[in-house]
Amino acid sequence: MTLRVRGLSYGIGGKQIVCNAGFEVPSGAVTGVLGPNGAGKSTLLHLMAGTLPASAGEVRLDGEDLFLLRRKDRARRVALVEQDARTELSMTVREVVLLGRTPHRSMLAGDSAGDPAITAAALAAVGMQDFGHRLFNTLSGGERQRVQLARSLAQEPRLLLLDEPTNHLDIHAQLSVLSLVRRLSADGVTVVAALHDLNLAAEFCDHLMVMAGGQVVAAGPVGDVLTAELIERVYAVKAEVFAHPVSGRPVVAYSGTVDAVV
Amino acid sequence: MSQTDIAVRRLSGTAWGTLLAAALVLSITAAVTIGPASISAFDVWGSALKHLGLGGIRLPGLLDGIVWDLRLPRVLTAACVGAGLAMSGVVMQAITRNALADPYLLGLSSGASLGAVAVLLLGVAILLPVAAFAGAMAALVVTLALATASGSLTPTKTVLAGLAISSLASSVTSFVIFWSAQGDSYREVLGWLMGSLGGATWQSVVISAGALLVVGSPIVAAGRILDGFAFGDASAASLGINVPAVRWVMLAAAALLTGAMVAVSGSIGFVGLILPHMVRLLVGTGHRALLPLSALAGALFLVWADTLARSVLGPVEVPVGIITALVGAPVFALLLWRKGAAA
Repeated sequence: MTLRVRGLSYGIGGKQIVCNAGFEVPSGAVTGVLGPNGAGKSTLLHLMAGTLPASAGEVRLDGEDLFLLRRKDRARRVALVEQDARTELSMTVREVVLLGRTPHRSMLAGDSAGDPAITAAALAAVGMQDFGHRLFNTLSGGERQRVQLARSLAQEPRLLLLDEPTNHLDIHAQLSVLSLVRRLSADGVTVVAALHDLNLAAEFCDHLMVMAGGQVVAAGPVGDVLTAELIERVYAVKAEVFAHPVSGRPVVAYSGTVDAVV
Repeated sequence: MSQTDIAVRRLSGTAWGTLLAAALVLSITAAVTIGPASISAFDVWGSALKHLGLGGIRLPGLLDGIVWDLRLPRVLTAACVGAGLAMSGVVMQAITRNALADPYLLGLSSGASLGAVAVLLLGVAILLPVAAFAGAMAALVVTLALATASGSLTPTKTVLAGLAISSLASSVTSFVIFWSAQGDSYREVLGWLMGSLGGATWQSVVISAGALLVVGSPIVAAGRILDGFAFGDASAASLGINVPAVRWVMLAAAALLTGAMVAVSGSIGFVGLILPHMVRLLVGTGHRALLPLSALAGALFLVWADTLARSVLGPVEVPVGIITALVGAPVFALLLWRKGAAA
């Protein structure tokens, strides 16, 4: 049972944004996508979600080619939480989460019988069960992110794609969102998340995939990928990597940019 | 906060629907009784039921003519036009993710007027709704193209582009009328540019009600799809929605509705802006409720706006668009102000 991405490519206006990206992780794992700004992390997630058309390549989840599925069938397997999702509408939290049921019903039908229960369960799973009637736009960044996660859970996906889920959150909200993501993966959901913070990635991910210039430059278990050599090569940053005194996971300490050191 | 956030959403969509529908039936009846000739609600229903072969009473010929041939088709047309314009506004707001989208502000109504006037000039009145649709669609395409020409689509740019297209289409419409008309050109220009239900007949009722039924009902049924656009196109696509197809089908539907309504009433502004925003306050943003309730509210609003338009200055008729603009412009200003406050 694996998530396998092969030869994924996307270009616009002659510029290749993602080039021949490939990796393979066991399903149910949390995979962090690392890389500097503009490396193609976001685009890769959108390609995997099918919201951008890949010019080549395939994404197979447990052997099934996601690109060959009908849109709706794909949306029942793959959910995407975009970076900093916004709406101009005054939607309640419950209305936002209910959007996740869209691929599970006929486009011309109303709510199906199970929708309220699934919506409530999704809200409870992210600890927002008391927020159903609040307006989405009045929530804090961390709360909004949790609601978006609940929306993606209501889709009942097997693959969850998160584009910088901790962006603009304070450290407490970051840790709580990522712990939640870990719990979801424990329930069998395969998670691929673009992340900026190397230490959070080291703590919460099973696998890492590092992108630079649209290409995958490293992929594998966290301990194998996160090395001082790789950090310097990809981010142009001097760093020490040592083991966390409690968890034993890699911890990164920075000591300056490469051009500043030279 | 959690208490006040949605304090107004106490009644369900069905409850509001029943209330608005009852208010609409009462308002239609009341509107037919209002006018220089004194007619009672009893007369209105008596005459209507008689003509429908459902009993009723036979009114004296003149009164019966006023009820059945003049006022009733006019009031019913007003209701249908109000409903159609409100629904068209809801669809455009959802698809363009623009709170300021409205068939009048984005130039659809003026485009439809131009199309209508053009075929009237050519003497093929039978094509009127089709030409109005073509005009509305053309105006919409040009507005969106103009708004996207200098980068991504923003609400402000869309409204500015709509204003430009609207002004252009309105001046061409006026020019065509002055160039060709034999009768009272000024009145005719006013009718197309500011809207008027003065010429409404049973044929107008058939056209506007037909468009509501044929175009409006499927839109209501597909309301869920519009919900999916709340967080943008990529989010909609990730929910399994075919975004490009839905966008064009829905915008074409909005243009069709606008075209049919403009063909019978000229371009009446702001209905698609005012009512959907008020209804959202009542029932939230779910389109399965928002679309039919906005339609009912739009009908109610235009029935009274038109009644005011034909009675406020005695025998002189005010174009109904003046009344809707008097209400709509402040609402537009309020929305702009709120957007500014939010940004």
